[in-house]
Parts: sequence; structure tokens; C-alpha cells
Amino acid sequence: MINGITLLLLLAAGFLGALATLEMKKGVDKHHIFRLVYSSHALKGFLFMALSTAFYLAALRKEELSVVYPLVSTTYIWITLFSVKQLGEKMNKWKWIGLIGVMIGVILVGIGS
Amino acid sequence: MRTKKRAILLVILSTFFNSAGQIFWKYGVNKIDLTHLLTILNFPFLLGIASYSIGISCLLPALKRGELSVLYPIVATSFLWITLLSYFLFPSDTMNGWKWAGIIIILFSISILGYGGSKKRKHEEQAKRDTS
Repeated sequence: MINGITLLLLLAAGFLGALATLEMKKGVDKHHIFRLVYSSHALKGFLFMALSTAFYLAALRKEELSVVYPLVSTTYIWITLFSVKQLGEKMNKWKWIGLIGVMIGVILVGIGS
Repeated sequence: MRTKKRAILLVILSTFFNSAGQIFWKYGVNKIDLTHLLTILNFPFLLGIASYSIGISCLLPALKRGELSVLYPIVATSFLWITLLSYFLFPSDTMNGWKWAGIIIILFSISILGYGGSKKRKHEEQAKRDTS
């Protein structure tokens, strides 16, 4: 059974990964790509991505991929939530079906690994 | 904002280079000898960094041209590249029914997502009709 700390690490990795992508998206929406290095979004994005990767690698040392992939796939839920709440994107039934399908697929690859 | 086809292709290209980067690193990490720190500059490791850089340079312009809720799940195509590349390059990695099923479902779902992202919203159509 997965222990509590690893579980928390993976959930945090998923959340921070989503935050990092959100910051990248906000950055490219606001700035020209070559000016991205000057924006605070790029800095935050990089920081979140580094933390997320560190947590993910730490958890990978202890757990099998069949446990890690399903937990990290919570990122997709966060991304969708942020896209709707913060970026004002609209969901439709095709996007929901696709999203849930991708998550099921990722979990299956994890089970097979 | 409708997600442009070019943005989706760029994300897929980006995941390919990211996956290739990870594979190069897997080769390169074995060549690092901690007593000789310069071994960190071995060829596969540097190739991995180059590949990652190309990957991120494809991802940023893609994000500019589409919706995050469509583009981000497409990053899951990296599962396809990683699984296929490791199957061919690392003899200890084998395929099984779960992995095949997962990959096929991911690809199918991404097509549905792309379709959902390219659909015009009702009020956008309405607005277009009003202006014309």
C-alpha cells in the first residue's frame, strides 16, 4: 500500500505541474515569446515546474508506475479547472469525453507498466 | 478562442522531442561518473538537453494559439512516443495488453478533444451572424 507522504508528494506534483502550465499560458498570452524571460509568469512557471519534477522524482524512487501515473493524472483535472475559472475557456461535451478518455488511457498505461 | 490545427500539431511535435530527450537522458545518465564530473557532458546527455529545448520551443508558440483545456491533455501523446521508443530501444521493456489499450484510448480521446476544441461555440456563431 502507498504511504501517506508519497501520496501527498504525488498529489502536490500534479497540482504544481498544472500551476506551472497555467503560468506558461498566461505568460505567452501577455508577452511576446522572446520577451517571456522578463515576465514574472515565466519565473513562477519555472519554479513550480522544478518543484513538481522534484516531488515526482522523489515519489518515483519509492512507488511503481501503476500507482504514480493515476495520481499524477489528477493534473488534467486541475488544468481543466484553471482553464475554466481563470482563463475563461468553455468546456463542451466533446472536450469532457476526450479529457476523461485521456485520463483512463494514462491509468491503463500505468497498470501495464 | 478556437484552437488552431497548427497549435495541436506543434504540441504533438513538442511531446515527441520531449520524449526523445528523456530517452537520451536515460542513455546519458548511465555514463555519468560522479568522480569525474565532466562526464555529465557526455554526448547523449547533451543531445537530451538539445531535444528538450526544441520541445519547449514548440510548446510555447502552441500555447499562444489555443485553449489550455484542449492543448494540455494532448501532451499525453508523450506516452505513445515513450512506450514505442523504449520498446524498440530497451530490450527489457515489453508491451502488454494494458499498455496497448491505454495508448489506443489516449490517441482516440485526443482526436475527440481536438474535434471539441475546433467546434465553434453557439454564441460565437450567433455573433458572426449578427455582424454579417
